[in-house]
This record gives sequence, structure tokens and C-alpha cells, in this order.
Amino acid sequence: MVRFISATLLIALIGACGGSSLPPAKVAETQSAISAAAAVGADANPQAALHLKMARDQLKQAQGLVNDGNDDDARLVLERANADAEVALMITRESVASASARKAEADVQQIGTKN
Amino acid sequence: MKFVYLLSPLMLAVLGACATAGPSPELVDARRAYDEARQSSAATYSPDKLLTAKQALERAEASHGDDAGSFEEKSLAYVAQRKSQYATVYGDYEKARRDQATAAQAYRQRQDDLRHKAEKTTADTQRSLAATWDNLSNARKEIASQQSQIQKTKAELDAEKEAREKAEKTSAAALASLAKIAQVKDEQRGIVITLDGSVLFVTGKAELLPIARDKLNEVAKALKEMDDDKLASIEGFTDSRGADDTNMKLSQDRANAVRDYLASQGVKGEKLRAVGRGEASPVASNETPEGRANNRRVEIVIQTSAQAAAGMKR
Repeated sequence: MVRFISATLLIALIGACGGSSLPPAKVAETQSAISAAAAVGADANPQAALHLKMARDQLKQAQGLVNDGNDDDARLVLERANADAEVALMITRESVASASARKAEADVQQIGTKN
Repeated sequence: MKFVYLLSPLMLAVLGACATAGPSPELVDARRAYDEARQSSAATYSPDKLLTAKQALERAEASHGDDAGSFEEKSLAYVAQRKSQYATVYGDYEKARRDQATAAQAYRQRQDDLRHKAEKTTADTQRSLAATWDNLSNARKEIASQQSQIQKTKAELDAEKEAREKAEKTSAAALASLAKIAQVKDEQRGIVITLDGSVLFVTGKAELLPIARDKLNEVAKALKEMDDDKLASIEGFTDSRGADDTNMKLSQDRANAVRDYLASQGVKGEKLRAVGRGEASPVASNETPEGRANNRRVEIVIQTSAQAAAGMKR
């Protein structure tokens, strides 16, 4: 709920600035991906954390560009932020899934040695 | 020659323009990332993500064609690189999920195998235990049966012992009462009851005197108390006066008379044996009247069958 309010507020702020705005759906999607990545533990995974940081930074940068009236660059930077957020989320998910797969395979190895 | 001079600066200008139109580092990265993605498990597990990456790269390439080196080209190339990276990681993610599912399935299968094996082992053990239990139960029944038999045998032995003790006691009492009227001795050949001949018979005859009957009644009573395995050998003796043949016959007749009387008093006939011994085996000197009186006698020998068999040989 807090996340939803934050995202909505951010969209509103970005929309309110400079008379121009970023595509709200894209902003929401990006914010959602950032939140999801953080929720699954991206901050604890160095590679995912790097992409998450870039996503956050670029989202702010996009907002700054809108404020400067540079809407075209702002949209491009927002796309970058979105791409990084998605990569951060997927790296984290892949890391968890791989760990689970390794554990499952180790379990099979272990049970395989039982009589 | 002038044409050449005119052409050369133009070519340089064109070449220079081509040099500035080279791909941005972002585009180079994006192309490489896409190539890697195509080689990765994304081709198998996430072809749709790979397609998205391809489209993103095409956008970047188009931008490069439209406005090489522009911020748009770099940004779109940046995004394309991330999309390829995303496709690669997504392929790894899908592969990991499938690997996990396969391993989980194998694990469940192995668990089932182990459970079935354990169930079989348990069933085998239970059957074995049941068989052992049956054996044990049978062994217990056998033991109980044997104990019961032992108890029964013990009870029978006790009863027999008690009966024997009672019989011996009765027999002893009977013998004790006999001792008042006759000489009773415990010898190797058996218990010997010696009755004075003069008390039993008229001299030279084999007829019982009336008083003899009282004494023989006591003897009969004692003999009836005897164990079933005992026999009574009734042996007649004379002194040395008279002919041997006569003495032998007289002693036999007297023994017979005693036997017949005892039988008439209820002593079982098959347990009685009459033997005439004549003047043999004197117990005193035949030279004196007292000695001869002692030699004229009837001995009733109560003996076991073994003792009786030994007595027959004499």
C-alpha cells in the first residue's frame, strides 16, 4: 500500500513539474519493478544491487530532465531505469531459483545414497 | 589531375563523416550482449524475451542509422543491452526452475521407492516376528504342558509315597502286633515270622490246633496289609528225629496247612507259597529237648519277588 502511494505520488510530482510529464504507466511499471526487486532481496545481491541503484538513480535523473524541460531525454532515461529495474529483479529471482535448484539436486544426491 | 585533387578532399570528408558515424560503445555492448543471449539458454527457455531484446537492438540500430552517436542511440543501445541481459538471465531462471522441478520429482520418486522398500521390510519383519511369536507361544504351551505333567507326576508320586508310608506304617503295626505272638526278624531273605511248631500242630501231625488259628489270624491280618509286590513263603521245619522222608513230608504238609488256612482267611493265594524243608536249617541243637522244640517251627518269610526268586534257588 505504501509502495502504491509512493509510486502514485511520484507520478503526480513528475506530472506536475514543468508542464510536461513522463508516461505514467512506464513510471509505475519502473517503480513497481524497483519495489519488487527490493522485496525479493536485490540489495543483498551485488550485481542486482548495482542495477537497482542505476534504476533508482536514472528514475530521479528522468525526473530532473523533465523539470529542465528536456522531455525527450527524460523518456529515454526512464526507459533505461525501467530496463535496469527489470534486470535487477530478474537477477535476484534467478539467484534464488538457482540456489533452490542446487539444493534440490543436492537433496536428490543425498537421498540417493540411502538404502 | 585536377579532378584527383578535387576528389581527394571529398573522400577525406566522406571518410571523416564515416569515422564519426561508428557505433557507440553502448551499441557495441548491446550487440555483444545480444549475441551472448542468443548463445545462452534464453534461446530454449525464453525465446520471447530474446525477441524483445532483438527488437530493442533493432531500435538502437535504427537510431544509430538516423542519428549516429546521439543520446537516443546510446540510450536505446543501453536499453537493448539490458533487454539482452534480461533475456539471458530469464533463460537461466527458467532453466533453474525446471532443474528444480526435475530434482524435486526425482526426490519424490526416490522417497516413494524408499518408503515402499521400508514398508516391505516392515511387513517382512512383522511376518518374521509373528512366526517367532507363534513359535514362542507353542514353546510356552509345551512348557506349560510339561509343567502340568510334572505337577501331575509329582502329585502321583506324593500320593504313592503317602500310600506306601501308610501301608508301611500299617504293615509295621501289624508286624508289631505279630511280634507279641511270634518271633519276627528282618533278615536278608525277608521278614521272617517264626511260629513255634508245638503251638500250631499236634506232634507228628499236620492238623492245626485250635489255638493256632488265633495266631494265624494275626498273621493273616499282617499279610493282608502287605504291599502287592510282596510274597509270603511258608516254610515248614522239623527236628532231626524220625526219617528224613517223613520229616520232609510232614514239614510240607504243615506248610500247606498253614497256607490253606491263611488263604481261607482272605490272603491272596497267589501270594502264598508253601515249602517243606524237613530237618534242614536247624536254628538250635537237636541234642536237647529245648533245641528240638525250637527247630520244630513254621517260618513265614515275607519277601519281595526278587528275594523270593533268590529263595527258590536254595
